Amino acid sequence: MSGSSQRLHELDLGDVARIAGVEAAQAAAKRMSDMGFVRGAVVEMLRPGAPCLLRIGGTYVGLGFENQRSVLVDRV
Amino acid sequence: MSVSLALPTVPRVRTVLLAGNPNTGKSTLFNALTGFRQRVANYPGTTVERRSGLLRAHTGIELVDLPGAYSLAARGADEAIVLDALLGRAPDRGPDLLISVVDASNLGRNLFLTTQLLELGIPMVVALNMMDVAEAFGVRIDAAALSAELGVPVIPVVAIKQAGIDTLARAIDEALDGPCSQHCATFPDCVCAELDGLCDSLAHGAGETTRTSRVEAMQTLLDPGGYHESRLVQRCGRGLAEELAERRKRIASAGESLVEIEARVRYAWIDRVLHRVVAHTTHPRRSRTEVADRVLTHPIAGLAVLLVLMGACFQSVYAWSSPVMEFIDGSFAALGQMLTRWLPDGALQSLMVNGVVAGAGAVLIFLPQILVLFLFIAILEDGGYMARAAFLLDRWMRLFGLNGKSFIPLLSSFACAVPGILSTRTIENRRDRFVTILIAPLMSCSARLPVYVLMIGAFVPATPLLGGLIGLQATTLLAMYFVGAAVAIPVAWILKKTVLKGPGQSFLLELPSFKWPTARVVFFRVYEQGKAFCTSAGTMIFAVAIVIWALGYYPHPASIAANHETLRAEARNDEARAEIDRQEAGAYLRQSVLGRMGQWIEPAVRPLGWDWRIGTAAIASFPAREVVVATLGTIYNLGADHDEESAGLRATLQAATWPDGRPVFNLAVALSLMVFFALCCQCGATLATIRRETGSWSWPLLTFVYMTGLAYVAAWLTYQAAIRIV
Repeated sequence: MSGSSQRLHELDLGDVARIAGVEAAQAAAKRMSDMGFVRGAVVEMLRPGAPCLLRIGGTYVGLGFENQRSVLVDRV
Repeated sequence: MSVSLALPTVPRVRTVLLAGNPNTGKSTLFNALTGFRQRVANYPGTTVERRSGLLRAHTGIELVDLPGAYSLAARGADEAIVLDALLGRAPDRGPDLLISVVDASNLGRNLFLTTQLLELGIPMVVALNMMDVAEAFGVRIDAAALSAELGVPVIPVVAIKQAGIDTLARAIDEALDGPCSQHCATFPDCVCAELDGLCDSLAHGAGETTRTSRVEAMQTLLDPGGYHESRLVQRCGRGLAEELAERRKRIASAGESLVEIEARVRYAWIDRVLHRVVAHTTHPRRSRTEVADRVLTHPIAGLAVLLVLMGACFQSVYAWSSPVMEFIDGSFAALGQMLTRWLPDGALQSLMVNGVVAGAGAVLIFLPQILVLFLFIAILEDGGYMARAAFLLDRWMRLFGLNGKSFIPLLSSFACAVPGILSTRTIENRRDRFVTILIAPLMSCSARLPVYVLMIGAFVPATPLLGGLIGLQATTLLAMYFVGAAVAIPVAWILKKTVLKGPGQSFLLELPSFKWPTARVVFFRVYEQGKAFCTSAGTMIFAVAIVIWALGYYPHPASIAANHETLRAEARNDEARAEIDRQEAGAYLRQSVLGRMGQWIEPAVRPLGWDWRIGTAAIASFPAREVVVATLGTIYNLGADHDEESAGLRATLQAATWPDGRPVFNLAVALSLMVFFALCCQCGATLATIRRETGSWSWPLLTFVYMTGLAYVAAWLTYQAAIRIV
């Protein structure tokens, strides 16, 4: 996950990004990984904020600030 | 034709579990397979009860609908249920077959749980649901190829249209004794080595490791702080915790991220499978859900829509049900009059007219409103809106220490606190969950509705407001719903600062795609709630009504009748005779057991503006608050003249007076009574549920004490303010 400069909460409306990793220290990290937040998955920011609204694969997920901050992303 | 005398061999009932992610249409599929009715919700994790039914035309196969789960790594109390069932812990023995219900329009995420289930070594069938939605999105899935990849039958179905159900039922029957899939995800060597070691030490180096216990070991190893770890550590002691820490350290030092490893391995495999079985026929376009969410999840516009929806809901509850309610009211009044004419005077007549008919009528009259309220909730849930409401309100709920997920249980509590408290199982954080449980009974449940409707109908004028857009009565009703929710805010805040102190939990919720609510699903949801209300009205409320009647009727000393008979003989006209009848009835009630109890507590309820009869009704309604209406009906009927023209409880209350002739009820008393019932915890079922969910009596006790205290103080303030203003 080296080289990633951004986290999910830094994405703007309409940004598409590839996940570089999920920080393990976060309480919900395992759950988020299981729900598809894994390295390589593509997310689209539909509504930035806390909680934000994301599209990941075919699903829409609402994520709070702490959870957004634990996801490292690379804009594509 | 020969008759066999040999005993038929009774085949063992086989257990089939339905597992799948939330929002995959699992419950709808369960209904289609069993003919059983179950409500379908659109937000994750409402299927908290164990629902089971026999597979159509197969008496020997029992289907169990499990709560929705994203992963075997259980987080909430809800997912723990899934795991216990899959691993064959109480109350079910190990299943004979699994049906993995998969949403075809979101195949990748759904296959994650499926790959976990495959490793359990239990025969399995995959039900590929929502094939129509997937095709509308331009996604074509080759079911046969997927079947070959997974090593289990894959049956395409559209549960909501009942398509593919027969094929699925046949596949279930055939797969029951079929082979298990040999599929097993390939984990890096360091994980496998630690897993083997853990399995050995769990089996104490002796016994053979089954595939099921290997899955359990993996979920324990890879999910620090999860449900499995705490469960196994409890069973095996601290030594296991140390061993786990050691093994995890070794995995980490091999350069693997512990929480990500399982997801990475499985999703990598899933991606390869998807590549082979999924074809995109058209380019994916912006879905209707995304377009709608631009408005519905907007922090201002979305909140405005939410408020309008709730306002419309409450206005309809009032406007649509009144004609039906008047009809029910009239029917019960007519029935009472009929019985008065048919039955001889005495205890039996009084029991039937004042106990049974008045009690049942006073409760059943609220059925139309409960049905309308549930109609709204069912439509919004089935359409997928409820998760949006949770999303919108998360930032607000966070201000007083809760999170958006608390909204769903709290909203359900507006119908009834019991399902509301049960649905808190989806909240993973224990403190957040307990705060939600403790404030859930403050939400105005449908059992309060009878009290509000009675009081508002009788004592709040029907003045139109905002140019006739909404009435004063509907506004008062809305205000009553608001009182509980408004009080819940500081209560939650205080609980979060004191007994349930600790960090909150960041929001994480799937927002399901919008769909048109299905008439069948909505109908059965409303029907089940109506049935549940009638059943409880028909048993507990009814029984309490009769007990209250008996306490209010006995002792029935003959001396009172004799005294009034003399007076009646001296009466000059009908009016005087009617007055004597009223006095006689009143004298009986004051003499009764109930009357004496009520007079004893009157000093405590006088500051609230109540007479002893209201106080008595409040006490008698401890088991269930809707009883208060039936009790008021019984008490005031016993104390009133049995006038042929008496038109229901509303008129009786309007006519009730203090001994000095002032009316008992006015707007201030009505408001004070409503506020008391908005905040009190007169509900045995709720307290029992809190006990079950928290595992201790101290939480229900705390709930009862704080709510009753709040209710008393607030009712007192309301009354004192109202007599000065109105």
